[in-house]
Amino acid sequence: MTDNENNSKASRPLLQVTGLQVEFTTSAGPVRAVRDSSFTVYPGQWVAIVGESGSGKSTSAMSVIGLLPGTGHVTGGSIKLDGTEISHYTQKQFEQIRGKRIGLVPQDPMSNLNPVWRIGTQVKEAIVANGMDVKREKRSELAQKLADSEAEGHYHGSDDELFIGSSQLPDLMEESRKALLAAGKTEKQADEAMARFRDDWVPGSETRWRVREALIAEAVEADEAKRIATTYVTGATMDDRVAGLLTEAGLPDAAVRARQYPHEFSGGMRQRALIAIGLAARPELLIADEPTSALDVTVQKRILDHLHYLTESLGTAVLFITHDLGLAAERAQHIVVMYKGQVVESGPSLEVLQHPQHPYTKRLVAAAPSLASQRIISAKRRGDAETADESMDHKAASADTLEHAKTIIEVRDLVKEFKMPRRKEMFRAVDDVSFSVRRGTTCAIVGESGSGKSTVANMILHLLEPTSGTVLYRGQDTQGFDKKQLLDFRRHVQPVFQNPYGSLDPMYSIYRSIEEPLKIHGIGDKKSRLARVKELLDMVELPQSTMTRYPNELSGGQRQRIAIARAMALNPDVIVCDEAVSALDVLVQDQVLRLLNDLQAEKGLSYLFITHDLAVVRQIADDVVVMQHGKLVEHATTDEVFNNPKTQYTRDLLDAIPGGRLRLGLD
Amino acid sequence: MGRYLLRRVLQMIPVIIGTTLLIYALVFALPGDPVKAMFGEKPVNDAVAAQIRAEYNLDKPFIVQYLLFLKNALTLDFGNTFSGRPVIDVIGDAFPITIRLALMAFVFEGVFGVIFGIIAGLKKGKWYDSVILIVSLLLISVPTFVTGFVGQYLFGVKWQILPVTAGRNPGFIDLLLPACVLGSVSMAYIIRLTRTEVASNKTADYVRTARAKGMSNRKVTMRHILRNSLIPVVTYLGADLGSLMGGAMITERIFNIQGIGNTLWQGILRGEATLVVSIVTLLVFVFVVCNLVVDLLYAVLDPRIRYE
Repeated sequence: MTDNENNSKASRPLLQVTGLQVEFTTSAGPVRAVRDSSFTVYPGQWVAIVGESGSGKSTSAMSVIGLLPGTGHVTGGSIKLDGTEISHYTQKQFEQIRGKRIGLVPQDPMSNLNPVWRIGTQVKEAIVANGMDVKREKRSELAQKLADSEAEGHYHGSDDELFIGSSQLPDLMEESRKALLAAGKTEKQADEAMARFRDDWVPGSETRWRVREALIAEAVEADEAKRIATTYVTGATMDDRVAGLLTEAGLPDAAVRARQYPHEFSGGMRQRALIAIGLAARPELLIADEPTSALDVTVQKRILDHLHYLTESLGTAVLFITHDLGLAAERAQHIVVMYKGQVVESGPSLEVLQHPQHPYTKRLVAAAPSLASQRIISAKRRGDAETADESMDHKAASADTLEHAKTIIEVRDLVKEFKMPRRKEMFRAVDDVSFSVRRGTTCAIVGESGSGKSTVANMILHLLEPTSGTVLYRGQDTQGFDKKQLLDFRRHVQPVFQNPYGSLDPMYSIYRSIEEPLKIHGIGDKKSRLARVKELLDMVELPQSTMTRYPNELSGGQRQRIAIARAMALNPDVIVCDEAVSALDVLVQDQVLRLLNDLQAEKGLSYLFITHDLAVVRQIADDVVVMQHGKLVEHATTDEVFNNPKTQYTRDLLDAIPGGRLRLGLD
Repeated sequence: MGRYLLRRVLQMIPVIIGTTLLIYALVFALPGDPVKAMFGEKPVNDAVAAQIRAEYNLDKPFIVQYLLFLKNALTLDFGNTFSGRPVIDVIGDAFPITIRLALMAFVFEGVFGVIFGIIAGLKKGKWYDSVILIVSLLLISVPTFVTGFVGQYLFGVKWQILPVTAGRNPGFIDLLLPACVLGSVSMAYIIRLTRTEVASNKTADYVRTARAKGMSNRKVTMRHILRNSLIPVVTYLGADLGSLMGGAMITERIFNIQGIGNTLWQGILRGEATLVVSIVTLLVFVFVVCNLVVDLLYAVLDPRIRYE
């Protein structure tokens, strides 16, 4: 693309939203979800809308495509798509632009595919609904212009955009091999080139002119290359195209996979299928609504990289919605920050990141785990320095005196095997893992889902019996505990789980939830327990009036505080946090981490922190255990892991932290 | 799949033995002497009574009677009724009528239940949704015999459109009103089930994804909302077919249909253990088979379910 064209395209916005207002009708009257939202997306540009949940970022994006949930409707402002006002469009009119002009990659890959239809069928729907020609690539407007201006260049009419068909592929390969040998390549060279072709020439995705270019690049004569491409690349079938789209979205074995159902796919694979669906009709604009927030960091990075590559090669603009400022800054050229239904700040990514103007943006920058990790560690050290005199235990936590710290939990050669249905051999979820947690420190276990980290946590909590190996608590083997010892152990080792919505009984008042452990262990009488609950609520910085409320009346962050208060009720030594902050918004996550940090400094608690997010580890942990496929691959202090990672896997995990390489201008 | 089927079929054996034993015991425990009941008000000669007892094995202990019944049942010999007809003939006369009635009720509740349910679900909150909801609630709360008598009075007596009762060999018209009455309660349940399913699927994430593809509203509704909503409805309908056959007793009494329900009723009155147990065995069998079909159907409809 020449500069000239870039400018002429850039002068006209693809999407222009000005002063958008969206209201939801409720029984209590209208609720305004978006008050004043304005942003502009230029062709081929990535624009990120950043904000916490409830800020109106998704609502703004959904009104662009006419898919507001429930009673939502646009009450003011304007939405212009390529100069045409669409805010007043009826559903029928929206059907005309959905898919074709604006695509959507939704947030949760688990619920966004219909469980009863095959993946391929669901991709096919997107092709059929928009009347896409499966034989040839739809040329984007940009490519069209390019073709017009360079009539002598690559393009020779629209037949050049015909796809490879799977039925012609074997002949194409054979002819190409002959041509390579004829062009003077050795057998070995030809085989190497063919291996590349085999990877590149995906039926239903690669086009005639690209085959020709590829052959010419391998020194095949232009006329011969043209003959082969014209004879053997004559268009794909629907099935080829479906597989081609899925391959483009990064799904391996797409032709086979297309015949499977969503439940046979992992989260990452489903998200790829959704990307294929979103891009099936080659829209000019793609709305990506937190497309990877439900996925592991490493998968997240791979998928976003791929999406970036795809949209770039197709010239698709992306409206990227996320709550993570670091992620936004890394991916988008332009950032729009929304807060309480209003756009509070917008500008070029680095500008917003390095010179945030609005106080809310400043808070976001400070809280983004990926960006602010360094700072929070230092805040922790500051905390350590202040409390060092009072808490001898905690002094031990500082890096220099590591060796002297006493071990509170030790895990030796831990193995856990599960029986697989229909399989003879056992599945090793945890494979010979040994590490220890020092008193008053935080040890983090990091890994992707399926790495066995939660299984380790459950064995430490004595909720799961190890196949072999031992868990030592204060030097005693927990397997050998009798009933009384076990009760005592449970009292001192408390869990906080991932899902703050599921781990509190909805029928229990907050008071009852926090009081329950006290009651079970027969501590105090009614009056003293009430006092203790009040004290605990103070500790987690919630008002005492929260006591009479029920979990469904509280936000996710508040619930997680309750879960922490409940875990703290018995004055434990160890708290096992299983993805305790993963489900929370960045700002809330930051608050909860700080709370945990303060409690540790105050009470000398030891934490075992299970997470998939290394950014969080940086903020809270002293030691890190990295797990992969059930094995421990690295065990060192946090600084060492971050500054000097030993294994490739750890480096991959570090790379996957969004915005990890961005530099900040805060402070 | 084959092994699953075999296991399910084998499971039917203890179910059928258990239910027949229970029913046999209950009929045995009924107060009154069946031989005396046979003669009504007339005095019975002791010798004759003893002979009858011996003929029908009534003089033997309970468990022997049951085992004799089971042994004969295996050879499809269900014995004779007290009036001397083979039980198998009595069932052969009555069962086709009940099947006809149950199938008509089944079609009625399936068609109208699903249609009204879909309308209510798609237009949740509109006035016809409320009307459909109220009517279905009414049908659920009013007992069948009330619906039956009201229907009889309105359609048969007042407006005289449909026959009041069915005769010996009832045809389609004769069974129309009974079938509607029989299917009304289930229809109301199907309406509510369909409505809830449609209303919740309507806002499902994958429906939004489908809309975002640019699919027309009609196609989204057919392929994504209805297809998914009807899975639980179909399984409910399947299981209900069994209940319709067994539950026809009241309806058959009201409309004087000589079906299996009526025959069963008379058998209970007369304390005819063989007749009652034979019919119940048959109904249990139908019920178990229906349930098996439903489970297999479920696997066909929902790809997430696979049997080993």
